[in-house]
Amino acid sequence: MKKEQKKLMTDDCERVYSEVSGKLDVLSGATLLITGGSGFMGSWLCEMVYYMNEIHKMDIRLFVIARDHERFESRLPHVASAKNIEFICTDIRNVSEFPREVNYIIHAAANPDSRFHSSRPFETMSTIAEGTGAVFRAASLVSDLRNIINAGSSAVYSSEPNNREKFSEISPGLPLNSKVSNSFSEANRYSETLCSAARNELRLPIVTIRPFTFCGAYQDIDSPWALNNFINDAMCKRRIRIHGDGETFRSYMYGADLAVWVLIIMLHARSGQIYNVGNSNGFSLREIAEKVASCFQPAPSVLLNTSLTGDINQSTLLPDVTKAEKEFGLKQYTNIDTAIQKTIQWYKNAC
Amino acid sequence: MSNNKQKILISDSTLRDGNHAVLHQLTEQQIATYCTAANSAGVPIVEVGHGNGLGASSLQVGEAAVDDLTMLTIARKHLKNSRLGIHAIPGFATIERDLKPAINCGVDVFRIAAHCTEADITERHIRFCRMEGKIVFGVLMMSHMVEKEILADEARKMQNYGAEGIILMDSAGNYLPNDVKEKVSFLKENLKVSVGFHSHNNLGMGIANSVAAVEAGAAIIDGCARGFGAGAGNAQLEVLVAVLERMGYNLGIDLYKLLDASDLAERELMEKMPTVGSTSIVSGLSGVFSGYLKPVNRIAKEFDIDPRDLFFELGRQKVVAGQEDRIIEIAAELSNSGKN
Repeated sequence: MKKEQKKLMTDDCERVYSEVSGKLDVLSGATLLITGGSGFMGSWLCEMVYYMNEIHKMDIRLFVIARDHERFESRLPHVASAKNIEFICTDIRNVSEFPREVNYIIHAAANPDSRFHSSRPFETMSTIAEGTGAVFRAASLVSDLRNIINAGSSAVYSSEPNNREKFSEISPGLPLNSKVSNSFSEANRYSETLCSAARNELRLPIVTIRPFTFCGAYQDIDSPWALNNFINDAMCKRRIRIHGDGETFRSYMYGADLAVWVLIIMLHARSGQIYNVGNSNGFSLREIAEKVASCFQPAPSVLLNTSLTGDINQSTLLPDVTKAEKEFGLKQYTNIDTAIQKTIQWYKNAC
Repeated sequence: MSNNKQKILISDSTLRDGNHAVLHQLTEQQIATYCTAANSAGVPIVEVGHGNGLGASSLQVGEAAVDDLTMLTIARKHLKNSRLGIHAIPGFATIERDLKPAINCGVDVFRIAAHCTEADITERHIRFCRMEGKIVFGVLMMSHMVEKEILADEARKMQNYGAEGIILMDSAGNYLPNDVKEKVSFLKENLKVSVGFHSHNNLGMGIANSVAAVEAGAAIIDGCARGFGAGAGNAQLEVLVAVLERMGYNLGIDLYKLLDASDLAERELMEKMPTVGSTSIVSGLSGVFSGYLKPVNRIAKEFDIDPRDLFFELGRQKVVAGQEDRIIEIAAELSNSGKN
């Protein structure tokens, strides 16, 4: 990690932490375990914990579980070498026990990349289903466990074309479907039911979050999200291409905001609850592309309707996050313009 | 002319599929001449290359007279308005050796192809082309071999990798119009991106199948001048365009100039016009890759066996493009069993 990237992370953590510090105090001296520690969510959580330990001396013990130690070390070298942080290299499905002192668990070991779901549908389902089961069995052996966050997905919702409504936690789920294309959604739906079963039978405290769409450091630029494509086009000094008419709506929560939302929900939510996590302020892809373009000099032009066949698919994926905002006093700490600027800065620094 | 009809994108495979018909021996001059004519006619996409696509020139599937980069450079020079397209099968085509130079040559449209059950192998190639800001279509070859549900699953993979359209290839010329309608409409229902169709004429269905595809919602249709392509040839481009115009589609192609380009193709590119010969019919019926026509005829003669028997046996064993070695093996088995 370059010096500029590390400074960007420290600044982000400081800026967002300063908004919520009182809500995170109870984490002092606690032991946290994160699965999927080298993914986007896991990396941001590690950064935030590292920051709280380094700057605010909160003495949080952190165990990070992931399959790829090298990837973790190369992405987060300062975290990997920190004294309070321990890496456990294993496939989450093979976990049988956790360190006894663990108080909180954030289970985020699932790959959200739709390309992976397409190529490896069995692996996708197996990791979520068997991984979540393994986490709950291991958690049931821990003596002072206070809460578990199961990071599910917004993919459990049923989306209707051209419906601009936001998804709330009680929005309809996907119709029952055994098609292979639903492997990720169905596995997440299964994991939510598994949470209920584990709460009932194993007496575990579990809260489910449904993450939506995000941006910021630790997301590969070739991830299949529109914002990344736009930034990639602009960084390659190309015009930004939008396949359709640009009226598809998306929102992006910045990684630092995600980290504090997850930690605060983990610390304060009641077992059995479900929360959307994301940004409810949606923008059309045209607007997002224009925001990206405005961060570059000279600004690339934005091309609409680049599909050679004129096919247009409009869709909307926006969360209603009122529940988390009201219950925990959360808000968006990074507006979309800042989030885009910081994301671009991260990629530029990485070059 | 109606304006509210689905936009149809015509992709001209004459200089790629046609290369099969002349054992990949199209010359620089032929490529330049035809590109000039197609460009003048306003053909939206002109596909150029070895019959099996980028990086395929080899002893196994046939050595091309002109290397890939020379072909693409010449084509690019003569395609001022038309987009330059390539066909690439991962395995033959690699990112470093083939796709990067193709991008540098100015290729606009990348058609990344795989056998109809193996879309997984296209992920890196499709991702790479998308990251380079190129137009990418996924191509499912030999699509007659599996049912629509499997095709949809494979097509969805390509869609998720970043393909902007999915083209079903009737590589064996085995489809009938109802098959086309069933599969194209199912894909149309199950994908977010456009669906396309590439026909072969083994059973004389090239145009009928292309029309069926359009009626089922396909938006990308391939054709070749005079049907110049592997085996019995493809949907005849100038007929296809005339028929679609007759149906009310505005394709943006100058028909007179396209007819001129087709005359030129017949005169300048072809040793002989593609016909639906006896072995082509058997090839279509047996569901074997159209590009096998010449090697099957040659090898059957070598082993003194009936090429029709060889085709049916290849079909029974579900041999696909890229398994050219199997032709000789199966011919030898048939020959031996005949002697025994």
